Amino acid sequence: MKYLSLTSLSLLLALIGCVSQNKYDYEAFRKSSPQSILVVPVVNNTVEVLAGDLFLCTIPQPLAERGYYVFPVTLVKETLEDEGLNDAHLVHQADPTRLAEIFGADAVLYISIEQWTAKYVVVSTTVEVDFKYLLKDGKTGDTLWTHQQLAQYSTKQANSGNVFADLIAGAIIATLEKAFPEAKLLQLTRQANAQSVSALYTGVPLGPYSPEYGKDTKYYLEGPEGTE
Amino acid sequence: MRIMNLLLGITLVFMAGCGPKTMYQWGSYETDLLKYCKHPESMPEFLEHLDKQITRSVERGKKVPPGLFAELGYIHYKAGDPKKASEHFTKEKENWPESAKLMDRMIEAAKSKKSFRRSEAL
Repeated sequence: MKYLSLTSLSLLLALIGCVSQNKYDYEAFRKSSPQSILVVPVVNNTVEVLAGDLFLCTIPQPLAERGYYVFPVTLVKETLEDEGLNDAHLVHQADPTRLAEIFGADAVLYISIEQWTAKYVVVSTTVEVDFKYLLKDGKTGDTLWTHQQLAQYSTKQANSGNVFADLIAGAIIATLEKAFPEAKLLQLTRQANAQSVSALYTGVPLGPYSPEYGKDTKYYLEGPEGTE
Repeated sequence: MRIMNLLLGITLVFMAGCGPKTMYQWGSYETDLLKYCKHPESMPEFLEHLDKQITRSVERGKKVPPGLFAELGYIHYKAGDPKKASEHFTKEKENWPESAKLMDRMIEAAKSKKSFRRSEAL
């Protein structure tokens, strides 16, 4: 009976982890049917100066794996700088159709970082990232998809029964994580990207390069929430 | 026991179904790109790794992921090798027609050996 309830719990957690019941209207997305996505430099609303550039390096893979052509992020960033758009805020304020036209892109993806923090309190660690995603049509500038994703990590209180052993273990973990916060931040970033892009009902529909292209329409419906 | 195993199996299938299925081989691309972003002086290392990753994909008959040929071409371009740059931009265009407009512009820049701010600094 103990094993049965553990199994049921795992199944339930798997379900919660992978399925969200919030539904967006994918009508504009379906009409646009983008094949290529231009990811522009990231607006960084945090105090960590490198966060924007670091994030930019993590986004091509999940989008490409979703079935889209993703423009090379380094080349895009430096080309925009050549065009006088050397700050992410300037890029985000620019006309998306102009940006798309420069590169020949079907859609433009804007990301802003709202949270990029690692906190250390005695022997506990809390790491948090929060991103906003906005995809716009390259021809019309219409919003195709928007999402906000938070990802968090906290060290669990060890419970070996030996208070001193637990404190020491906690202190070691906290020290390592404090020395290498970036690794955890990037891990959470990858997790947030994967969850945002691939989630059923709220993610980005499969793109034309995906072998399953067109087979996921039941998860990304057109029309007001809850209707077909 | 059988019911428990069946439920465990369904759980694993569910979780596997929710896990990533990769269409392309990325190797250490993301890690290398991150390092290059933070340390632009690691460009030679990025170039070497990117070259190896592309060669590996081609040897295994796998399609090179979007952007890799272009990023490699761009590094060659910045390093002052317009011929290799042009070759890689052309490969990106051949593999990914969506990149044509950008790649044509970069091929033109490479062929005309247009001076580029960053290559002047190297």
